[in-house]
Amino acid sequence: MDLTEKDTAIEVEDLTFSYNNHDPVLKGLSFSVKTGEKVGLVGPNGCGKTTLFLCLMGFLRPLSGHIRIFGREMIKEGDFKWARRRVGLLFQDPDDQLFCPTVLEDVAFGPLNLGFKPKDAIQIAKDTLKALKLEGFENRVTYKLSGGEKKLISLATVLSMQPKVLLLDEPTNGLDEETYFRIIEIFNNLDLTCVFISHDMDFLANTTQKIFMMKNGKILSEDAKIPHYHMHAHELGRVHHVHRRLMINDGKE
Amino acid sequence: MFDPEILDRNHLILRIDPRIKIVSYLILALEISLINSINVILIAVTATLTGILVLRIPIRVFVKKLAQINMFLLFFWVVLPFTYTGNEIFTIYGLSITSEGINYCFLITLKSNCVLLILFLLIGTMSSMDFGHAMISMGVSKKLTFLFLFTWRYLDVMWRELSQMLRALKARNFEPKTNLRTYKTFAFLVAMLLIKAYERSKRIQMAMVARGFQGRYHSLKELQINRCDLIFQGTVLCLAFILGYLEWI
Repeated sequence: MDLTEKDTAIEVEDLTFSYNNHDPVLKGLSFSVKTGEKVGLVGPNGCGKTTLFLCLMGFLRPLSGHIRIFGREMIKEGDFKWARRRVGLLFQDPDDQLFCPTVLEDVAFGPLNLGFKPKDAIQIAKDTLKALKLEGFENRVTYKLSGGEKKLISLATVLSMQPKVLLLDEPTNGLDEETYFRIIEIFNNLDLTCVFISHDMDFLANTTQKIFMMKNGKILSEDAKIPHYHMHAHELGRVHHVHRRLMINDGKE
Repeated sequence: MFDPEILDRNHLILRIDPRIKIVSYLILALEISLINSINVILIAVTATLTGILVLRIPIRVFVKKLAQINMFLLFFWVVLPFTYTGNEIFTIYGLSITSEGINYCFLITLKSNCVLLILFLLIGTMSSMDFGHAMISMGVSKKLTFLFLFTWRYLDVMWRELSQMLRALKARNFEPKTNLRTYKTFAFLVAMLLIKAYERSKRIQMAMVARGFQGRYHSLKELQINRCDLIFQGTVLCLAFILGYLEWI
């Protein structure tokens, strides 16, 4: 593995995927994310953003194309098993992620699978919770948590695997203001490669360096920049006003 | 499996090996269900209550659940004294109450309450995860154990999905009537619930595999039988023996 390959965390080339063998969702999609980079992925509903994540994790097998994680070509299940130790996936619905009765058991689930002894797994879980300022949640029952708490704990369950890359599917969905700002702060303090699926431009403006636009099964603009940067609660809030489009594709609106 | 927060985390009953608890429960429940003498059952109830007192478990935890189940037992009290053949004690409106009927009701009530108390005490005081782990290490099939654990976890989610759909029906002015449309709508509802459950199960599996799950089940607690467990098991066996001796010998 040479240095240039190591520098690229995710590399996707000409990926085609279809759920029913005709009418593909992903049509020759290509993009890459450098190590340490935080990028956003936006696009209309049903354009295949989540599908792309599931392909990257090896849950869906593409018809054609290449996926490389840290330079390693993903071909067999064994390759993806290797990748899953390095890439964490945060699901859109935290109820899909949290299946253990208590928070501690859920956060320790990943480390136990990685072969840590229960004692060490508990320590890792506690440290992860502490890093997210979630101390005291250890013995809470997962399905009795509030929506925002569930989201934060789900994040902890992924982070406890100590991944190098995070794939996050709508991490700010349904969060209240306090949790929202907290999660932005958490992401900004994470020294990881991150790919966010989000419709929330304010959030992406605060966390990412680059935004990819997805449409018709392809990623349109390699580095669509964010032309402006402001929080939504300003004087004009009460008056009808129009913002400039955030996405510029090939110079056209 | 009541709120584990009620008890102190280092409580003795929480430290006993879950396998010992399951075995003890099975022995006692089976024996008590076979005993037919009220006196012996009374001894069993007293022993159980003593156990609860000695272990300092706040009995109020059980009271509500016991009350709910005893409501169901009321049904027996309404029916059995009138229908059981035996010595008539007295007659109301041509219906005669038999002493055997009353005795039988009393026996059923005592038996079920006793078994329930033991259930709460032994099985109720372990987390579902511990229960699953104990089941696997006792040789119960993995599939069955996972089925149990996931049912436990996702009943709540499925219930929420069902009530969401019901609310959506109501929001669009749906009123259940006895007609084909209502049956169809409810059939759709059930079908939708099954499909949603299936879809969710696929997502959960992905989430588990994404976190390195490979079909092996780990628990945070390493199961190990120590002296305390053996003393507990010994006490239970002694009790079981005494009850059996009084009943059958």
